[in-house]
Amino acid sequence: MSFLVRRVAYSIFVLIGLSMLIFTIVRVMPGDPARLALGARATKEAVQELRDRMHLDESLPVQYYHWVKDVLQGKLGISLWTRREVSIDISRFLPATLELVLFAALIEAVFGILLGVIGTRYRNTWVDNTLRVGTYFAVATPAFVVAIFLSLIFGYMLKVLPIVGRLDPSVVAPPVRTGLITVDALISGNFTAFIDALKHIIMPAIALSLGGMAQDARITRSSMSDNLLKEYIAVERAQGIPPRVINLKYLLKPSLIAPVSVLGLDIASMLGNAFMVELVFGWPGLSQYGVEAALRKDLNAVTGVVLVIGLVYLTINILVDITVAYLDPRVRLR
Amino acid sequence: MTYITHSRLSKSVDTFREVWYKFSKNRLSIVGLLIVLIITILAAFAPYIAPYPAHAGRFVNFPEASQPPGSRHLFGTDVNGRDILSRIIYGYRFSLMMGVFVLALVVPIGVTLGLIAGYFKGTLIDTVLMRITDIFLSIPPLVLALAIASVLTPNLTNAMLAISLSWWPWYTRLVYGLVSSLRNEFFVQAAKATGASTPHILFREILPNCVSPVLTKMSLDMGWVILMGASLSFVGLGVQPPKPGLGSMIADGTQYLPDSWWMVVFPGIAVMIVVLGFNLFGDGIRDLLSEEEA
Repeated sequence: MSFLVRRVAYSIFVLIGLSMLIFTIVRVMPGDPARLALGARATKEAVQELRDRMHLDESLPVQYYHWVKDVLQGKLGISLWTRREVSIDISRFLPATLELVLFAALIEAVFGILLGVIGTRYRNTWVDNTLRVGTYFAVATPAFVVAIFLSLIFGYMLKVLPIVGRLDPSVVAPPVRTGLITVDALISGNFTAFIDALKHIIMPAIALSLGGMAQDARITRSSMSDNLLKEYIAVERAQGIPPRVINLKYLLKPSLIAPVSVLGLDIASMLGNAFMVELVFGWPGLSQYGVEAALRKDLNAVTGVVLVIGLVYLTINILVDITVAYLDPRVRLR
Repeated sequence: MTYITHSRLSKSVDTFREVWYKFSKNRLSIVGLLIVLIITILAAFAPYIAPYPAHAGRFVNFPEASQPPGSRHLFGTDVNGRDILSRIIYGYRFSLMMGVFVLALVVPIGVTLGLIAGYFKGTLIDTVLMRITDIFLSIPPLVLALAIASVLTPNLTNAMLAISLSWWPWYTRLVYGLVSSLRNEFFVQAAKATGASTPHILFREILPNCVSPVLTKMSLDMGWVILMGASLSFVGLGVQPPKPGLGSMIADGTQYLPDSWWMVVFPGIAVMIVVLGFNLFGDGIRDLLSEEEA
């Protein structure tokens, strides 16, 4: 338990560090943030007034102090693009990204491990070899290229899946509870919406997960094959423990430690790659908001997005650590 | 316990034939090497190899716009009538340049910081350096690079800068781990006892023993840096038009899907192949160097 407390405390420290880092990056940039915010036609007086309000004439640490005070009250500033409070924008766009990453992580974990198990079961046959070559290609293809290829094949050519958005305009959207449309649809018992949302999320989720899935398959395959040769497996076989029990409890479980750790790292790269995939599928998520903000030099929004992604990332890593501790008793003893 | 001497590196430089034997045992490594070689040649001699070198820049030829792949244009043309094959070859030029520059910037910085932090393990220097590293690693590199690129003017140099700023911590962490265990080896203590200076110990005694893992990581990273460059260019924060970035070519082409599929499919495959090539090549290097460790 103290392991967990220390882990959380350290994450908070890192988050504070991240806020300083992104604050410095944004403030050190050439140009006047106030002028940038108001545009070229604003009067000198208006710019000076905003400079005073943003404390831009003070030293960097003082500026940071004032900024943090606002952030802790949930005020990230006004977005130049949407003209709304950034925290409101983020709370509107974040659920779509979380839903996407959640589905992608689920697909990656299930199919990555499954393919790894299949590779081990049929090792050194054509099945294993095909999988291995496939994983090389899957790892090397950027998520946004997979996204475009998928939408070209299943969206444009076969016309079996929708190409844009989270829900068809003709479908009645379920009332917002969690912000995850699939979950909201299930809560309200709206199955048409659930099926439609699933159809919309399947391609972006696969595009986002394919590379990590291949990596997971490869790692599961290699750690299972290593463990298969361990003496304790031979002993258990000799003792007549049913193969099913051996395979699940003594072979698969310890073999999952490596893939689960990798899954944590993959979710990190998903948060990055989601930027591109959301653009391809017109997915109204945080990443799309972030890219738009980055291109428009909307610094308040960029800062907010970076902080929120940092927070999500650190949270996911803590969850992964807990899962690894469950799978690997050696970690718990520490 | 393995006993490591600083002369091991010189011993490990085998004859070419031995090295090739080890490297080529895995056929995929050879495929990787071939891809890397071909792409390097394409990039280096782009003006002589590309069928239409002028098409890599501001060139417009509307009568030949949006042509599907054919004998005149192997990969078709874009909306301005520019040959896509030529633009991909020049795109490789920018991609490789980016990979080389980023690694040239990131490796010395990351490795030096890792050496220092690892050597002074347990002191304030270690704490400060490694905590800063952790902060940089607390966010996906692509997101950090996007944020940095967004405050700068979008162009190739700034994209390289942004990627570099988010990439060095990985080398610091790698070398830190290596040095933490090396610093207690006998040869380091012997150097200390004979009064060698700290820079001498760091760069002459410890650094040569970190070369293999760093080289392996570099050969694997080349592909990832190129991929990240393509991603930045895809959202418009990399190579600027009319110059051909692999990512921006894909982004431009998506507007004309599905009819002009070649505008997207060929640049997409081009990115995939270069990343695949460096991955396979990097795996080969890893097998080669890790076998020498054993």
